Amino acid sequence: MDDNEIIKLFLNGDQRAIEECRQKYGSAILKICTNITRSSEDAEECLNDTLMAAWQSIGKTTPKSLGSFLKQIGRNLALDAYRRRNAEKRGLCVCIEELGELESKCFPADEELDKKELDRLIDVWLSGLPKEKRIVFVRRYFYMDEIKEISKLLELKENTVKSTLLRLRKSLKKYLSDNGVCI
Amino acid sequence: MNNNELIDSIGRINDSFIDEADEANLRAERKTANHFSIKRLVPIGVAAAILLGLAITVTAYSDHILEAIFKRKTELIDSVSVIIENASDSAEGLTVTVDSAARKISDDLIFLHFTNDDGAFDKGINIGRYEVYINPSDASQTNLEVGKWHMWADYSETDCIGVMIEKIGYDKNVPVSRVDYKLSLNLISGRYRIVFSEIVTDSGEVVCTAPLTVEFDIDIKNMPLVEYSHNKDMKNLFEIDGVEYSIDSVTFEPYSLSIQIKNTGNDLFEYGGEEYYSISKFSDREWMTKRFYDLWLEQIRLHDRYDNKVFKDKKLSDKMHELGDEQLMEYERSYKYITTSYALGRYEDGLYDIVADQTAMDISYDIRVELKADCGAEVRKTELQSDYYDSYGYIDPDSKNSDVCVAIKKMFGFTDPIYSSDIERIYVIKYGDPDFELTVYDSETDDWLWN
Repeated sequence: MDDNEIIKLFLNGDQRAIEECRQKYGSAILKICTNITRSSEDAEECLNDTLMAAWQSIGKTTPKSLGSFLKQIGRNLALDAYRRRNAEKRGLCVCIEELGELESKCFPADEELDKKELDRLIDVWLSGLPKEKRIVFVRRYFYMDEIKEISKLLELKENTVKSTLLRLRKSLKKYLSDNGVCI
Repeated sequence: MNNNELIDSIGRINDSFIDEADEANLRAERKTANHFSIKRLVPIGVAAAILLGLAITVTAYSDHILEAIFKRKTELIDSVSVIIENASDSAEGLTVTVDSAARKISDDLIFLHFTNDDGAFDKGINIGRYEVYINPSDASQTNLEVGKWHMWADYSETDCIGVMIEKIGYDKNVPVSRVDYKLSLNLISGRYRIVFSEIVTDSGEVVCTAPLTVEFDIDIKNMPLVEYSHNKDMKNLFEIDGVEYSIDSVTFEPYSLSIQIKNTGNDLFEYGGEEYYSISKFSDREWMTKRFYDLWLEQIRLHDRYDNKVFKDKKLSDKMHELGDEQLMEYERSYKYITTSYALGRYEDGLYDIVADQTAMDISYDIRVELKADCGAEVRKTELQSDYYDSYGYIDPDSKNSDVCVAIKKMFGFTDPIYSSDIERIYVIKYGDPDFELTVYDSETDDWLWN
């Protein structure tokens, strides 16, 4: 079913919208949630919560891209679950650790930063990247894919993906620093 | 700000980036990507369609090519490049960003790109002139004074000879919001300043009125070299018109292949009352008369001695070079040249008098390289290389004796980086005989090129 039709179902309060979303985007959302939580049980729960959140929010807001909208919700819910679990030391998501490099070396923890400004800077930085590198970054840090998966998807050596990501993190760090985010 | 805020912020990136990276969308998006030249890819796709007699999709083939180019660039170049990412804006909203730099065994590379605040460059872009300045930081790498600015290069994008800046995957017919360039030059450690001026659209409209200047630092000490290989003393023999030649050495790096051809017999032929070395037939612009070639080789040997054995005193060495050059010019004025492709020429009063000579061209050869179609690259240019006078020939620098044999070295530059295994074939043609084609290396049956 077309995204616009699904959104109409939401707007009309038709519960078939949830099933259509599950069919169309369920596996993608589940994948992101699994990547983050490392638990199929938690991921399944996140998927259900995502669909429920969509049910409650569409109407108040109309997504430009239904797929991205659902994935963003799923990712946020999975991160919440991850953080709860991380507090209990039940495992770490490597890609979140990677981004932690930037925090420890770069960001002053006590400084409040305008979220919208940070979002804007990251969007601008991403838009300036060659498409292929942007895909590598988004696959890793939005979708939280494994290096191996990105390597397979883009037909690159794993070491190439790793070095590309390293360079991208350095680039992001420099960009944020140049724009006053880093000390 | 903490890590969670950064992770959360990435979670709120533009929808288009999320869709773009989605596996299901990835291939479809790449089919329409205009980051690389569609123009260059279409003929390949069309040829494939004709070959199969089927209406196969050109875009599917292009997609494969785009992936091949990206894979090679990432693995062979990006993996050993250093990130720079310094940018500068013009009042008109044009931004130049120096992305990265890579060191090679030959010239080095700087990758940069232009973006336009107003959106796509729907009328194309051309750099009329760029000047590169260097402020060196390491005296051990250069004779230039450290801490001062020096002119490093001054060229135009449209120069026919010595083009150092090239667009990557550009098609002026496909509007793009980003135009990538590859700048070739020799790097030393220091601060660089590039001044771009006379930036115009393809139709000549001024894009940027004031010069656009960007500065950045490079420290070459910790920069690894792009992978290369050099095979020498190979004895791959082939014969044309009763003369035996050999491909004596090859130097490969992802953007170029150099081939040296020798004629160990130093065979001669006569044309128009003058003697020439047979190897000259591989020279695509001029044949040097034997008399001049011999003088020239002697000059190189003299220079070599000045540089490496006798004179360590730079001033004295420079003086000897100057004297040697004067002597060479004197000889040059008195001898006749033949330009195989177009002309019979004579150096008079600082000018070459060009006269068409089709016969000379018809008995000349050309060595060519064919790449595998699925690597995505094409041979961009070929040029004769030498350690001394460009386009005249080449002397083996390892041969210090007076019995050196004549040789020609030819360099093939590629549009995009390739693996050595992407070289399909090396062959020789005769300009005057369209039926003549001699394959000297075939990747299907030969292995000598890399052994």
